[in-house]
Amino acid sequence: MSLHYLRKSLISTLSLTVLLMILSFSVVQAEEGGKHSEKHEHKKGSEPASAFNKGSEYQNDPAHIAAGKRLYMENNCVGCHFRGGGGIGPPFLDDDWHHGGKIEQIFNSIHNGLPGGMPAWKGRLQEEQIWQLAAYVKAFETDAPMPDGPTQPVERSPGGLDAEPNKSRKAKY
Amino acid sequence: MYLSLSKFSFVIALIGISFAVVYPGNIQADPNPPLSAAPKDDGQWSMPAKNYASTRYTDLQQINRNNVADLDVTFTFDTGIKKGQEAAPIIVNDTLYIVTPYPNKVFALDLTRPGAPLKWKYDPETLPASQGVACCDVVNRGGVYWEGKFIFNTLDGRTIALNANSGEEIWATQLGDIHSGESITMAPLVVKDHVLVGNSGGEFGVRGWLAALNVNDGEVEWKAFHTGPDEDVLIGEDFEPFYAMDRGKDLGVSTWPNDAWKTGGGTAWGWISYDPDLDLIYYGTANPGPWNAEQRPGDNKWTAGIFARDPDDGSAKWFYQLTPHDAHDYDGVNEIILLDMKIDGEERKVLVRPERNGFLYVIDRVTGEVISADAYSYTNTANGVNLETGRLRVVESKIPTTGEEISDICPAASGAKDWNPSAYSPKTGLLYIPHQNVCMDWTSHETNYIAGTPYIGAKVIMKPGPGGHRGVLTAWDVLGREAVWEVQEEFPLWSGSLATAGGLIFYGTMDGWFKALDASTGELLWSFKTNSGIIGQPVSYQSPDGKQHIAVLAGVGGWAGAIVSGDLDPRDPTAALGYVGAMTDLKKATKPGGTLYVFALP
Repeated sequence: MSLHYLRKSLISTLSLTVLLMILSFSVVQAEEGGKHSEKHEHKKGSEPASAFNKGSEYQNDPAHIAAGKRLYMENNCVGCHFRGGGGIGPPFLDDDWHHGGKIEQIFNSIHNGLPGGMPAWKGRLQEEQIWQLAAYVKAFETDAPMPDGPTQPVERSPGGLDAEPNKSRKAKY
Repeated sequence: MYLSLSKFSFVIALIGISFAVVYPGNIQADPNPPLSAAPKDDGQWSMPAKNYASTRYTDLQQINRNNVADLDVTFTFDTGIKKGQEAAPIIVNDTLYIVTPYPNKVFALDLTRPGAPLKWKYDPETLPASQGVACCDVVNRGGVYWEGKFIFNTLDGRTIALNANSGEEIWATQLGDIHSGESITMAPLVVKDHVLVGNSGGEFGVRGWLAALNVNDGEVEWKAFHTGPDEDVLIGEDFEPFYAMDRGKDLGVSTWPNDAWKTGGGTAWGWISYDPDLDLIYYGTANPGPWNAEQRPGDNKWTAGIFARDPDDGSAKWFYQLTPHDAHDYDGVNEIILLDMKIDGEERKVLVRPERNGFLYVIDRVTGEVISADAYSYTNTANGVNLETGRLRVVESKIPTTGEEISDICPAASGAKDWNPSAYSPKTGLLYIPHQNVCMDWTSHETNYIAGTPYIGAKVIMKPGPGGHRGVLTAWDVLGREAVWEVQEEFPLWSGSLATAGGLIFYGTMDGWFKALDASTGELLWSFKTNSGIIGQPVSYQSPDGKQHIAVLAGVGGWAGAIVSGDLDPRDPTAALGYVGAMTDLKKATKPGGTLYVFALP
């Protein structure tokens, strides 16, 4: 399994270099947007001693973020957290991190799992891959545009009971 | 032989009249549930569906069209759990029982004392990790009372029987394994001495099953899988599906590529009905997995269909696949209402199923023959059912292909109607269907099976359907095969409905309104705003002082309400399997809750 992922990671690193320009623009935004969430990040969780300062190698690094995105899709993270909005798992788009929002804390949550249903990925993914995932997850928050309030429902679908199939009513029994 | 010949000629007659079927039969009586499955009302409510026929209809009529405007709160009870409250309150022997969403606490309230104080409570200490395998909020659809026991399921895969008087545990049986993605959210049904329980986890690539436990000791008596070899599915010699498409050896293997049946879903998290005369249970199987249908070419038996089984040994009698090779997450687990009605001059024992794919099926419950299938909601994924072959007429252009966005698929993955059950009134002959008007854009992508993680392979964004309203209560004339009236709601209808002999229909909305309508006209006669959106199942009972009460749990959540109960981010329309796209405004309309409301006349 790890070989499979390694191979895929290599391919992704090569093929996704095109995206680097776009992503580096996002990183600039991330650095600007990071300030307002600083106080939230320090409120909860603890850093793994082994990971001290390691996060800076990954956070905001476009290649690692791109690799993390691929891992995020391949390992079904998307099925719980979707594209940052959450579902079974919590959202990542805002700065409210239940178990700490520093990249080292995010690494920890992925590595060790969490009691509320987050699986532990140590042993299933390499540490390098978990750092890349953490970098991608962190990027949701920092990349997110912050509108003033909730957005409106997506525009409705066209069609209707009289517009398309099944419009004919059947006779009574 | 005689039977199948008459079936054959019936089918030939139908072909002759093409798709628009006409029945020249004379109408003599409104459809009625069989008395054995819907006995005379005792003023209690011992199972979520009210009775084995699943009518969710009460004979109580103290509260009626003329006085319902005076209906007021008698008491409330705060469960302290602010997740989606889908359970039906259960009322037996002047005690009211409720099961909460995870952590599945049970509360028993004493109805003989003012304010219905707590009689006992029970905490099953459900594993917190089970929340990670609950696809669509950590819901529970309620418990059931049976001969001194209160029986319910837990999210971490257990069935537990409590002493109904004391709350002490009598037995607990571990059925599901959360590490493989299994959970249990459905309400059990007790038939004779069998507790019937099915698993959840169709979004995790589990293998679906229905099990029977001995009501006295919790021992597993039989377990019928919904994929795999006939032996596992409990298909034997007396299995006789009506249509050729459902016949053949080991279809639970051969209609899947390679070993895909082992992770193929087909869970049983919905409703079960029982006909005591035929001694058959009826229930549906959920969607196949993964959602990306290109990863599982074939009909994917025995997913998205209805089984009739012998409750004693679980052996299958017939099966009908509503949505073969489902490509849109159209689970087949909705409620099944048992009715007897005259069709073409002949008294037929039928089951009625408002299906997720948008069609209301009337099926002969003796044989599994589809008598009719009419659209009760807007759908563009199928053009009805071929009554000769039984096969859904699928619209190919709405079948997703990997990497391509297919837009405006109606209904959405949650269906024209999800789990929330309809009610049938024999007084009006109408089925009151609470449902949705939601469509979606869908892009399939390849997904890997990893045990205990979601097995989906689709990016979905839901949106309001034609007209813009997202919820509908449809009053459906079962005999006349048409909607008589409907009420449109802003948000999807995710609550059950209740029909009463007082000529009323009760249901709740996701922004917290609990409503009473005139059962004949749909006119709004009374409404009350609760403290959270309502997705629960309203019930009615008679209290010790002889008064009729209406009870419902308020507490928004479930798949449609996950944006509020899970505090999801509306900026990602794909969140919660795409439902967030259609619900970005729900946070403005309601907040999380978990309160029982009980109403009566002053």
